[in-house]
Amino acid sequence: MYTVANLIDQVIKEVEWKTFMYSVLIGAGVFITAGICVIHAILFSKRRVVTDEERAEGRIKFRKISVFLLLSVGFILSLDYLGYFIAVPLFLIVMFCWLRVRPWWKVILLSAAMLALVHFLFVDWAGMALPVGCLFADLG
Amino acid sequence: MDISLAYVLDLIITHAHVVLFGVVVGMIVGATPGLTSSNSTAIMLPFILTLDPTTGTIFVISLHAGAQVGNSFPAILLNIPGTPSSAVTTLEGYPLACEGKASLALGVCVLASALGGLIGGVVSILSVPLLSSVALEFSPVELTIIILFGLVIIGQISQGGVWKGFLSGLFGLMAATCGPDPMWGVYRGDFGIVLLYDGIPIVSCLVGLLAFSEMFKLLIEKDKQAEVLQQKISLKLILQGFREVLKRPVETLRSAFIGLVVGAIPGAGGSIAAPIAYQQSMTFSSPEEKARFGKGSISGLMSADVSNNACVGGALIPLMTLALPGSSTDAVLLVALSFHGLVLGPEFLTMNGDMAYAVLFSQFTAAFCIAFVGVLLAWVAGRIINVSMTVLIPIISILAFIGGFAETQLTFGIWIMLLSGILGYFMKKYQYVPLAFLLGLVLGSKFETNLFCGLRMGHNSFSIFFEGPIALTLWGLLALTITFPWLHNLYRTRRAGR
Repeated sequence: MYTVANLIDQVIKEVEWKTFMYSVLIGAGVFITAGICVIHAILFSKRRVVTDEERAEGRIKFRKISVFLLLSVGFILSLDYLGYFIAVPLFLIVMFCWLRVRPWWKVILLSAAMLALVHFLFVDWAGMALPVGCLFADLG
Repeated sequence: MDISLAYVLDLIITHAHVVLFGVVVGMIVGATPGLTSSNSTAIMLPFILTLDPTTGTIFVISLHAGAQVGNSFPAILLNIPGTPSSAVTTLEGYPLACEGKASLALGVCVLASALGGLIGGVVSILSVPLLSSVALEFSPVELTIIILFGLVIIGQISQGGVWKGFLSGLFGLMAATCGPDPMWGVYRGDFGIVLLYDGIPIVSCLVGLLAFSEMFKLLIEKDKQAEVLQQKISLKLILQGFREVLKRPVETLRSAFIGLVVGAIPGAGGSIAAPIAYQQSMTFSSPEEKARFGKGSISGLMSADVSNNACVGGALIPLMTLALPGSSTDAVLLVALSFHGLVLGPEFLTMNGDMAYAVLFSQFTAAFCIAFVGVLLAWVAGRIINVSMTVLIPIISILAFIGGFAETQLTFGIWIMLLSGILGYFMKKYQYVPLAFLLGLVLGSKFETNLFCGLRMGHNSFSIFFEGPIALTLWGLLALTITFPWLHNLYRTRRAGR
């Protein structure tokens, strides 16, 4: 899909023909090898009966990954608005709670330590411009 | 460049603290289940980028060397190989630990790794200047074939089959076409998104592919925490392990040689070198020793660890002379150096001689650090490997988010990191090769530049790529690389048929 979209984008922009030909050549390679992979999978992959147990396990895995992705997306979306001072410990606390890390003081301590590490190592020392968020930006 | 003893000593002393720090971090990281040298260097990339290029490179090399040793600790004490390269260590290390000889096994592993690193260092120091002078003769034509060669070899050795490896590499090259064309500066493949005008942010992509994708795996496997073998680690037995290694100089040299050769092949690394060295060790062992294989053989254990660490030096040879990364960690190094505007390749030694030699000689310091610090860390290995996954996952995720942010300084980079992480997870799940994709992405613009320069040299004719002895030899080698596994299989099938 990416390959097709990339090539269409180049056609629309009417880029230099040599540049376009290079992309076409690579794209052709992608399609040919993808085709071979598909044929190989159809011809040689063994059909396997999925047991109920495996299906249930698959559902659990899917749920775990979905929740993790959802939390990650939530963190990225909130980073610009809340700033790293709030988003980092919030993400950590929610994650620790979800993963059932106990006792509570450990959760708080780890989140605070991680925030301190992010602030002092990456923002203070490395000079990274992590978003401070609306609240802290207004506070100056 | 003249190298005097004073110069070498100066290089070693100046960077000793960086090496020590890198080795200690590497060993701790390697001993932590779920963390490998490649995903930990990817996580630490934002920190590495703030260091000066020499310090950063030495740190990565030392971390890589330390992690190879650290990986063996859970393999010996938990029977869990942290990486594919330490899978062989479990075969002999865990049975030894079960016999109550965990300290001995740890001692063997520490000194074998140190010696592997030392031999790897010597060979790389001797061969890098030699190969660089040869590589300086290469024109864009030969460089194009060499990059193709690297991608093909990585495709060849992928576990999921050759085509999946090729597809990953080609897809990486396709992704590299996003952004300005290196020859004419034309913007393409950015879908009109301003943030993609500079191309796909490689650092974010790298962190996602190598580090964030592992989080999904850890999350699924988090409940599979094993019990640490409760044994008192004794210093006396660790030192006895040292003596056992010193009794086997021939095996050490043989395994180091295997590690060096395999390490120099792009994409191969310890996962291939260790089984070969182990198998060779078994072949050349005495009948009594051969009977011990699989039940706790010291020869088997040391051969795997020597070759694993010799790979680190071996991988530096193609990286420094041809800019072809031998492992994922070297790919991280390539990206970090490009970030600083440094170009690895034939001219690297001439242009940045001080840095190149500092990096090469730091392998000696790393080998000594492994031997000394390794003993101390082996002592506390049981505690390090017992870190809970549920604590690690959120912490590493935050570091990965920051890694995604580092290059662009925008949340857009974190989105790219997240998407790359998902892509990396599915690539690993269906046995595609994230390293081949990464290599295609990193070397894409270089490949395109050299291809078009070559075409210009040949007045727009592809025939120039098939002229001259070097180009023809490289094509021959490439053809041999592609056809050899099939021919070998055909030969074996026919022989079995007879």
